[in-house]
Amino acid sequence: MTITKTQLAIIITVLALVLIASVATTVWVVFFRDDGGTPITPDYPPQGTEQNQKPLEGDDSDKMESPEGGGAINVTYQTSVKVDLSENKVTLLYANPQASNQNVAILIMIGDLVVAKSDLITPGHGVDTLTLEKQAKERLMVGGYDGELVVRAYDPETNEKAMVDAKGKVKITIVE
Amino acid sequence: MKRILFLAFVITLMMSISVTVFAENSVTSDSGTTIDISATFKAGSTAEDVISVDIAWGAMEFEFSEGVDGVWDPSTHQYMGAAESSWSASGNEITVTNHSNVAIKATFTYTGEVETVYGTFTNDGVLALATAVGTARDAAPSDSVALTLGGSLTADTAGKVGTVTITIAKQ
Repeated sequence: MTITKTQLAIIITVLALVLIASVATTVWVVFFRDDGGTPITPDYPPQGTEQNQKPLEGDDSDKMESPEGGGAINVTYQTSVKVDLSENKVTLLYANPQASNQNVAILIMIGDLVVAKSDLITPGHGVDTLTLEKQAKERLMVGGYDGELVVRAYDPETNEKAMVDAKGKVKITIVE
Repeated sequence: MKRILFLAFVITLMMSISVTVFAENSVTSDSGTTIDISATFKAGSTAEDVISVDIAWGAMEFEFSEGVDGVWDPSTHQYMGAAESSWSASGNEITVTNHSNVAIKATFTYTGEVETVYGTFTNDGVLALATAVGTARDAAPSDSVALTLGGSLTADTAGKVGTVTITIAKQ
């Protein structure tokens, strides 16, 4: 079987196109694909109240004293977090008791990946469920991860973000 | 016929032998029969770690005073009223109180938004607080650090210069 010049030209053209497509894909994956990146603190913090927040039963704690011009929060959480991929649900326990004098917003992170985030949780309320972020659903696999709970405080009157953030380690279990 | 009789004799003999069995979880009744006692195991539960900390901070107000050369005094060959650049702080303490059922370590990190300004903490930026188990609420383990800023600031970079992150970890 002999290959004509025309056939050879077609084969070379196809191979060249495949090569170009491969190089282009590699460049896009390495330099341009959106992999989540490092989370950036918003210039304009969450304005709404978290829809999943619930009143903390039996919480009659007195407001904490904080130095003039400062703030005070109580950060209460369990170190285990469960992510249900099929239900798009993150189950956790976070409380912002009445004692706090700041609203807070929380994030559940695995490295740079935001697994879930809340709107403002007002004092006297807590959350036990958050919605799984779409990007996290696409990237997480069944198993266990070491993650972080990030807590950001906001002045309830001015909504200005406090200079002080808090974070803690959590164990995240992913199920289907 | 003999074989059948011998077999019947052996069976009768075997059935007449009494055997005592010592078995746990069994009780011998008066009539000599045994009753098996079964029990199920229900696993106990251990309390899950609950991290609960109070964090209180002051106004976090800092002022940078640029150094002044002063006025040259020819009679003493000295600058009069010269001063080095300096920082002063107000409400720069952060207090952490532990209400957790585990001992915790709080690590303080300053993240600058102005390259020429840096922050340092007393206690090397680490507080180790004992568990609150066995303590009254108003006697919970508590400690503080103070933030000090260093470096230099200009009129253009004045404003928000950074944030403090407190990382809570089980000890």
